[in-house]
Amino acid sequence: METVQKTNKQEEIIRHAMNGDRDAFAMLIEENYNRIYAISWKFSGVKEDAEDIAQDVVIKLARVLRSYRFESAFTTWLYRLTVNTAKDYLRSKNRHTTREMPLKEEIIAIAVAPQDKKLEINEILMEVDKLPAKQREVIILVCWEGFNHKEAAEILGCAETTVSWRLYEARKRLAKLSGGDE
Amino acid sequence: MSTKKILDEKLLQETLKSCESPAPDEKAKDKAILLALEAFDEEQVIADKKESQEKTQGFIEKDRLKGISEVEPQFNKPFNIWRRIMDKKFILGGMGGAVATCAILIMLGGPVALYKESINTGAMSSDVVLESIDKEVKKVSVEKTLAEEDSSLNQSNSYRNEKSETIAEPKAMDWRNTRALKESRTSTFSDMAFNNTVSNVREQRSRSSAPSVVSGSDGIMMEETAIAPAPPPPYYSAMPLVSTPPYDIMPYNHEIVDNDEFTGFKNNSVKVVTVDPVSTFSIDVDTASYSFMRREINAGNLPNKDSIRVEELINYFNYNYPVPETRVNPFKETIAVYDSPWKQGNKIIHIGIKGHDIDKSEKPKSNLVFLIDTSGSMHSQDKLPLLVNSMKMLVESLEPNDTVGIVTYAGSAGIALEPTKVENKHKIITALENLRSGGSTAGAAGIRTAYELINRNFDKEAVNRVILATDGDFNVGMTSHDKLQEFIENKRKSGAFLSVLGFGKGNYHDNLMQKLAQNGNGNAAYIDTLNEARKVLVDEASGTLFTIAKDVKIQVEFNPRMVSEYRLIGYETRALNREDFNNDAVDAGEIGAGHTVTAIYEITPVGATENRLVDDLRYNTKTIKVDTVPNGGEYAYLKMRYKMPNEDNSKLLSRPITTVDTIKFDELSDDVRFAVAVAGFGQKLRHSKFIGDFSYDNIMSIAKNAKGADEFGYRAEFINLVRLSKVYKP
Repeated sequence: METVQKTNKQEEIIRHAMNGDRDAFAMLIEENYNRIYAISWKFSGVKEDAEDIAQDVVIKLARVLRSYRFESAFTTWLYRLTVNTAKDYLRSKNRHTTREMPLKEEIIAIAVAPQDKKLEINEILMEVDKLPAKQREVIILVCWEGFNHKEAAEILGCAETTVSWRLYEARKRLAKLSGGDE
Repeated sequence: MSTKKILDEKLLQETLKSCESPAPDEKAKDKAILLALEAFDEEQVIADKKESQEKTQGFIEKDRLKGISEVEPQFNKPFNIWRRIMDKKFILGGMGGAVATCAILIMLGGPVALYKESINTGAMSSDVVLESIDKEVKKVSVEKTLAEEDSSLNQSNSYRNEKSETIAEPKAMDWRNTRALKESRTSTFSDMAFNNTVSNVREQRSRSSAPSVVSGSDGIMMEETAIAPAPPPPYYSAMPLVSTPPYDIMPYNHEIVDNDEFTGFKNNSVKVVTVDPVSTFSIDVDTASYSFMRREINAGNLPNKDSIRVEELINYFNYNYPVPETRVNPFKETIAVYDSPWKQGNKIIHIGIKGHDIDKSEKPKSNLVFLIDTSGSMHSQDKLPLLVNSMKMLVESLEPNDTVGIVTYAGSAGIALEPTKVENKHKIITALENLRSGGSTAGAAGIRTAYELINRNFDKEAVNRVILATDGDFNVGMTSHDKLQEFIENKRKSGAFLSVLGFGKGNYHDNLMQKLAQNGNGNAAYIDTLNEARKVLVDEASGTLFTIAKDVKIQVEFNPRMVSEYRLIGYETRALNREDFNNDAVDAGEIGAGHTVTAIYEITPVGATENRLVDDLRYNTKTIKVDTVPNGGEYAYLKMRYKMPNEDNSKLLSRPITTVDTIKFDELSDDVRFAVAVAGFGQKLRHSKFIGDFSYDNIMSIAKNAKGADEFGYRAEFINLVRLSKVYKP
């Protein structure tokens, strides 16, 4: 998705940040915050939670950036950090409190979507919400964020076939769920 | 929804992809970035430590440079940034980089440094500087390209020098005194768990800037530095300005920048009876203003004028007005007319109301839901820990049959404890003790959940009450203040009551608390100490919890034959329209069991011409002959309306206030004299122009003589507060 030049530039910035350059680090998170926030929001569905998760992620980034080894694309690495943070956050939250499930109407109310599609998206999201966590993840990453199966597998730390399988299961289940409603 | 669409990956993708996440909140983003940078700096400190253990040459230089940045001991971050610059460790730091670093320093360094600079240069207001820096930062981030990053260090230095005209650069100062402090702080920071950092953010915001007043152990001001903070512009106010100092070093009363919010209002003015003979207001049993005032004075400041509501100061105290003999009426009025202590010739009409108390045996069951703010801003000692202890005290005083539920809100709302009978006290106490602060404040969702819980358990015979404990910062949530208010208003109709307990300082939103309590059939108290918690939640629990009359309104019609001018002291925020009095749809204040409410009018009797502030109209056609008609002995006619807690129709009580009610000042009961002393103090704190040269000494001498039994020392405490105020005097 990214041009080679842009990737190089980002790599340069990351290296500077890793060497302790504050400005480079500021630039790095400034550039990536919106992306982090977006995925956090898709995972949590709540604006406040997404803000908390995104905040956790950028702070973690400050702590663990040095451990990035340039082996996978930075975006993938960052997504992995974000997804894990979001999962941890939601898990600990659900343990400590009875989670007030975000009403999907509210999600759709603040989402940016074409007006005529809102109803449809809302219905899908309501179904997606009922999926087991692992299936939800792949739907969010592959269908919503647009990663291919390989990238999603890297982010989730599992085999590509697992992603494909979960996606298939998820779609089957979605079809069943929505079919049952009709 | 067609099954086909969901099965088809492409179609599903297409649909979902058209739905974008909302744009992130800029404030949240800034906050996150600043926190991350802070974590980044901490990482560098750790890394540097390792490094310097290996080679020691760097030490001398580092110490010197640290000195520069330690002008203000609280500012941890400038230290890091400056050291980074001076250590020339930045590889990337081209011209843009250096400026951005300076700019970030300013943002973090906060208003003080800027303010100083703007005094020094005398050329620019701090706001302007901040604004220009803000622009600079934006410009820089745009301009910053890789080519620039390659530019030489020399260039960047010259650029910085050029800019230093507008950007404050810390001046070297004697930092030795602060060094020990600094070092202990640094170690705290590197040890601080990552999660703490997150939850501390909101709190940091509230404890920015330098201490201006250092209080001695007895609370008397000892020293004041000349530095005053420039008010932070709104954009910056959401950011943590400095890192959190550990409490043993910086007690809470050392902060001066505050984001406390109060709604300003004007003192009631003098009304001319011939023009405006009727005064209408809602009663107010809140006491928040008093404890807030106490806290401020004890911390060495005279309180913000707008934080003072005179009636709340007066009503803070319990007065032994006679109680109603029968239960036909829930409360009884006590009237006294006496000479004004601050203006000779004027008189005071003193209206005291006392509600009947209820015996322990007849206490209704309580169905309580604690709605507890556990957001990051509640982290400090005087917030969540005090709150938990207060709530524990309340739970201890409840009956086994009462129920308590706990809802917390931070990020999004959650139920920490399903409604539980007080029989299982340990369960409630455990839940309270497990509360931790962290996250932002979704107050709206919290209130919704709390009301859901109370309605689930709703018992018509019981007292159904939500007790909201917060520092008043409902910064997040879909709801504007007005919407929230509307929601509370709707819930009021369901029969649940609301109590608002305010905590903390620096971020206290008095205006919202008032709004919520007034619209939610409730009362508001401000808890500054455990003692206050005991007073509100245990000693006066029946008043706080059991409402005996609601929508209590007072209307006084003055007799133009006896009174030429009048002025209501306090109740500015409770004023009602004349027609609201008889309109049962209009909400007003509640009286709890055993509550006392006092309203004080100052009047200028007809005849005391020299005291009149307003001249007669030249073209007034109505001339009033004194004492030629009935009602001659009546100063005024008092009407009170109230509703029983479960009823919708109001009842009316009325009586004339006549010359028979006149009592000599010295013969007044202690309670009445004490109340009027408090009224005098409140007006002084509000800079009222109507009390002439009435002094703190006058207040003290009246109050001292009217102390009475003063079982718990509240009145003695008041006298002490007056004494302190005299020292601070405006």
